[in-house]
Amino acid sequence: MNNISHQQHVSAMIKMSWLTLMVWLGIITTSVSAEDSELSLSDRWQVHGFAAVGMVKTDHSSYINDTNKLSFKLTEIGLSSRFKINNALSLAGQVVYLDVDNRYAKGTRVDYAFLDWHPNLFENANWSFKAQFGRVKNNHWLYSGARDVPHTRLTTILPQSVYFDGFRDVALGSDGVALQVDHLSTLGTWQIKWSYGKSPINDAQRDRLFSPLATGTLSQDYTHQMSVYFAPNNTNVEVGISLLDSDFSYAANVAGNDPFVNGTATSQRIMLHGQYFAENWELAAELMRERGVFKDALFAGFNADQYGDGGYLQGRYLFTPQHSVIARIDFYDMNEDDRSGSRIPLQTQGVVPEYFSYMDQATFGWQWRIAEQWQLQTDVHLIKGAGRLTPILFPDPVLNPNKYWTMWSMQLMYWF
Amino acid sequence: MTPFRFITLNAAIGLMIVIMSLLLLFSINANAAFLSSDVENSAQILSVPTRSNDHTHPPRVITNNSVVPDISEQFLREVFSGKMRYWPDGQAITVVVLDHNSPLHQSFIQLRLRMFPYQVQRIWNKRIYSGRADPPIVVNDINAMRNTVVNTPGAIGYLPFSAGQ
Repeated sequence: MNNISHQQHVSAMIKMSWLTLMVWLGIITTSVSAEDSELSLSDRWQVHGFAAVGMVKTDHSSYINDTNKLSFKLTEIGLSSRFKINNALSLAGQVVYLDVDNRYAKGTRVDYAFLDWHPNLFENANWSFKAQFGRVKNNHWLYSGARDVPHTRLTTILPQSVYFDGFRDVALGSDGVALQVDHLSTLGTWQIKWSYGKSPINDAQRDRLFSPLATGTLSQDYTHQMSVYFAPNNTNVEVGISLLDSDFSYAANVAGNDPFVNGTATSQRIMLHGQYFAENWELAAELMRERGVFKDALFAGFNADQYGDGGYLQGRYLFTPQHSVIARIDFYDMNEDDRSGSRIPLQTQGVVPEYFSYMDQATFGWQWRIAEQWQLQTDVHLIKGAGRLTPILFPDPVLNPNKYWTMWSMQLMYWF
Repeated sequence: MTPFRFITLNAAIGLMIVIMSLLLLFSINANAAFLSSDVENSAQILSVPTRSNDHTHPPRVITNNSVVPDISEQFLREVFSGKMRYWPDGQAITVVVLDHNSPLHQSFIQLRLRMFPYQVQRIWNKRIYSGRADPPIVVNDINAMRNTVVNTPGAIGYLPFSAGQ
């Protein structure tokens, strides 16, 4: 009952957010102030984009495709636009087309579309407030805000412990509201961010997250996030902490021979973030602990409540502004109480091997800035385990028969 | 046994805190030394402007006349990172920069903002491509920089140290 009531509340809030956005748009488009009227269209309207193509190959894994053949499906194309209504208000949006085999559902999606409000609210230059309404991005993690933009990533494949590809569309952003306060104190710069909303989940995403056999409706009820970052004065260090709480529900399609039943899932995360920049090198690290609570869904009476953890440490060295190398270790354990995964074969009558409970990864990469807006990037990944492969609840040991597997990729990208 | 199983989350968190603390201490000391030498260099150049080297001395920050130039180094850094958008008097800020490959731009980033060109470029890329900021105005040379700042209310930019001496 409470859950239903909560969902209705969230649903109403989302509708209100969109309604608010529409009202804002109506008011704004008819009330561009006189002080901003001298702005030309080129001053107001910015268009950017990117295109990336490449190749990728795995062995003994279904992460990219089911055949382990060289794949040229590493295509990411995006077009973004930002329209400045006045100094405080802008509209921003981005459409992305993805064709990356098994990693994401193929097709076009709107990654973000929001009203950006940045008023001079505090009348104090050391404080800044901004708010976004609409489909807002998750800006709580080091790379979450631009994980969809190839040239902002240090490697083509992000560390899967934190940036799990299976959750790409859900974790990238949500329909709702995001607030941010920045403060310049005598100690350093503080950033406090808060967001609330929900992400739509289509059938293709449902198949990846849950099971390809599912015919019901998987939906995210809400996601609630907060983060605090601090950068001490006169340093190039930034540290942060973030929290996430999200509920999902599954409505079985009884008429459609759905093998599953109604159920719910909760995901909670706490993360630590840190990065350091030096003249020729940089370090970044993110650690996370997440709780997964599952009720029913798989079958009536199914219950699970477990904690997993993971994180990565990444270093980059710039030989020149054009050439740099990247090294990273990334580790992930799905269940802190069963890090070796020994319980999994027992729970599945030996069908699923123990290595589906973790995924550790060593990555080595090279970036070459070929020209001003061109970059070539290649990564090699040495992987042990299959704990971050989709579908999560239905591991496929036939397509992933090895505990150890490798992957390499090369991607050429252009942006404007 | 997984390769990194010995790293439990608690140990990893501890390790991260230690690394970050060391980096923090290192950074504060490094930058403190940098600040001192910066002030000395500026004083020297002010007395002997003709011997200035624009690639090693901090470029000058210039603002439109409408701006009261009473700002901290920290504020300056956040302005050129796109985070702060308003002057203390409430006027909107317009950031003007040279191309990021220009030696003067790189000098400004390193000597004035005490950041690194690749770092600032990434910040802007992330902000622009996530829809959170308009990019700064990019001009071709210092004459265009001066003209743009002079003619744009709320604008801020930079010039070589010797300019206007």
